Amino acid sequence: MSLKQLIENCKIDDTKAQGELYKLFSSKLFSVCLKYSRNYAEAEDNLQDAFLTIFKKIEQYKGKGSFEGWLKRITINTVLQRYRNEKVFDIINENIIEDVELEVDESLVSIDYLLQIIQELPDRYRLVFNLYVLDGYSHKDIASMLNINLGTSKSNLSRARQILKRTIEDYKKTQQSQSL
Amino acid sequence: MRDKKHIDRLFQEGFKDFEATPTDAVWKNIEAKLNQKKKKRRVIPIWWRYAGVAALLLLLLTVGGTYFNVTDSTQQNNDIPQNQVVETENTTYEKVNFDGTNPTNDSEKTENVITDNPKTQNNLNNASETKLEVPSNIITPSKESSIAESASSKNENESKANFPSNTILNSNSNNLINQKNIKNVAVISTPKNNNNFKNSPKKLQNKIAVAVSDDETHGHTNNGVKNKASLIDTKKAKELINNPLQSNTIAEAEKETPEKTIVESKASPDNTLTIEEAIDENKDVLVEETNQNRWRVVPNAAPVYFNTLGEGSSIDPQFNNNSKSGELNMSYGISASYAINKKLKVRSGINKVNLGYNTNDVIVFQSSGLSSNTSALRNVNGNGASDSVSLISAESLDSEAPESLTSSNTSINQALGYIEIPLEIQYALSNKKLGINIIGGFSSFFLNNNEIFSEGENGNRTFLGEANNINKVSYSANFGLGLNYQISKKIDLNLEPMFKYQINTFKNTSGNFTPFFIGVYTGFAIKF
Repeated sequence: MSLKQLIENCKIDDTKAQGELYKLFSSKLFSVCLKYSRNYAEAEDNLQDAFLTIFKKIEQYKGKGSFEGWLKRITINTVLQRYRNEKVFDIINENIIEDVELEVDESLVSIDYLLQIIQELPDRYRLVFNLYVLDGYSHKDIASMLNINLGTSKSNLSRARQILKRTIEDYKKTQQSQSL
Repeated sequence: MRDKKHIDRLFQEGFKDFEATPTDAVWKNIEAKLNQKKKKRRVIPIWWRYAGVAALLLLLLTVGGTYFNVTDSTQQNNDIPQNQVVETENTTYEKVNFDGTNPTNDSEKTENVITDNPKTQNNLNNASETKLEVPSNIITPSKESSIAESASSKNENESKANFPSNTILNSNSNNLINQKNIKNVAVISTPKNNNNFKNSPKKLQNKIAVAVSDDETHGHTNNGVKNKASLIDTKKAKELINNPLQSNTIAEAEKETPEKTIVESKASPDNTLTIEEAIDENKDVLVEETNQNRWRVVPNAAPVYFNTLGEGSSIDPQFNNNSKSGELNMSYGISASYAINKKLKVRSGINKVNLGYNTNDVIVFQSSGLSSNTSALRNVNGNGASDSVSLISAESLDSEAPESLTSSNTSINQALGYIEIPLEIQYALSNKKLGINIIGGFSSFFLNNNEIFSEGENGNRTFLGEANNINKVSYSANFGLGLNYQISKKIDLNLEPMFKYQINTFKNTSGNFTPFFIGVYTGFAIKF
């Protein structure tokens, strides 16, 4: 069955087609959920909500643009919905340090580790970092998606980078001291 | 391996091909919730929809039915004394007359013309024309050929404009044929009144014959048959006037009819066949339901222009030939519509409508002594004050009438107020930001204001009384075009020019008085 046909069948609430669609896209979308959520369990909750929204709104998908992009957008929106209202202290006046280059031994930082430190970020930092760095949204988009102003988005991003950098450096130090 | 790199790069590269499989529990949860929703959604909206439509119909029928029965009985009472005054033949003509101008008939006929193939179209046109013009034919004898007795004067001069050219050229002998023709038509149209447009016995036969091979429940097919059958009828009528040469084409048409019916009956199973499809459609609707704003409420206002199509008068026969001028009034109200699917909306509402028109060139004079009965207006119940005032059509006065009298022209103003309850279907041709819709349906009108004034040149208005020939409940067939401009997601601006052809408004009009009104309805639609 072509993807187009599959989408059409999903539009008429065909359970089989819905299962098929889930099989095709769940791992891609779950990775999105993992990055944006606090932990594995919440990521699963978000994935579930995202798919329910997808099946509800699939009628609105008119075949314009990539279907995967559409799915991803809905997933991100679902996650944002959950965290949008949780307040994070906005640090606007802090000096923005742009020195975020660091030396990494890539064998030391596994994908699991990266995921873990992203998830440990405070909500708003995590969201901004994900949106900007990993999913390529502009600060303008992010500001409107999170209902914050442009400056906040920028400072949140820079703060996220700093935290991540420090975490990785600390991690490296402990690794090195362990290996010494 | 040690590299200095930007932290963004580190993460971007790390997550480039990152995928993770969720546990099976996630899908199970989703499935469970989907099923739950389906059950909920399936039961409630359908129930709502059908119950809503049923309730609306029930309401309209009950209200309409009770009022209609009341007016029916009064109508009969009114008719009896009238029959005594006017000669019986004449009244039957009048009935035929009504038939000829009945909108339903008209549309039926035009349908016939459309559905027919080009070969027979000309004949058909003739046939339907003769039928349409029957009323004028009936009327003519009284003036032109004097075959019928000198019937009442009120039909004189009437609808001359409607004469087809060949009828005008007819000699006396042709008039005889016309008379024959009239008889035929009368036979056709009389059962029409009783049987809801099931025409002549001939047609009924046809219908029965077809019904044997065809399931009666298929509305489409029945319509087709009806059209075809009445087509043959009109042709039969024509046959009596014209020479038998045309019987060939009639035979052809008759041959065609069964064929077409067969085709149609073959096609009809397709329409009803798949229940699954119907269910699927319902599903579609249900899915949409969650996304669309199905309801909209539109407070609206409209300037309405009331006028009549034919010559005639609702007030008194003597005013049949007077010029009538429509009046611009207001209609305002609120309507609600429900979207069955993306294209179709059902709508109803309630509107207050004021209508009015003027009968011009009327002369008013004070009768010095007792008011003479002869000058009382037939369809007006006077009030005490106006008893001494008499009105005469200026046209009925001879040219020798004193100048002073004819110059003091006034007009009679008839004002009607209604509560209108429309039931219409709206079909969307375009669903863009600027939407275009076709609207069709009917309205029930409940009379709540009924006044007749005389209006002098100087603007003096004198209350004459109220018309006694207006039905408490009347109907209209509505057609229109709807334009709506989407201002925001919740609000549309509507503009709807509507034509409403009134049915059953007057009990007892003289001449060919067919009222209608045009309104341009504007309003804001609030969607939810």
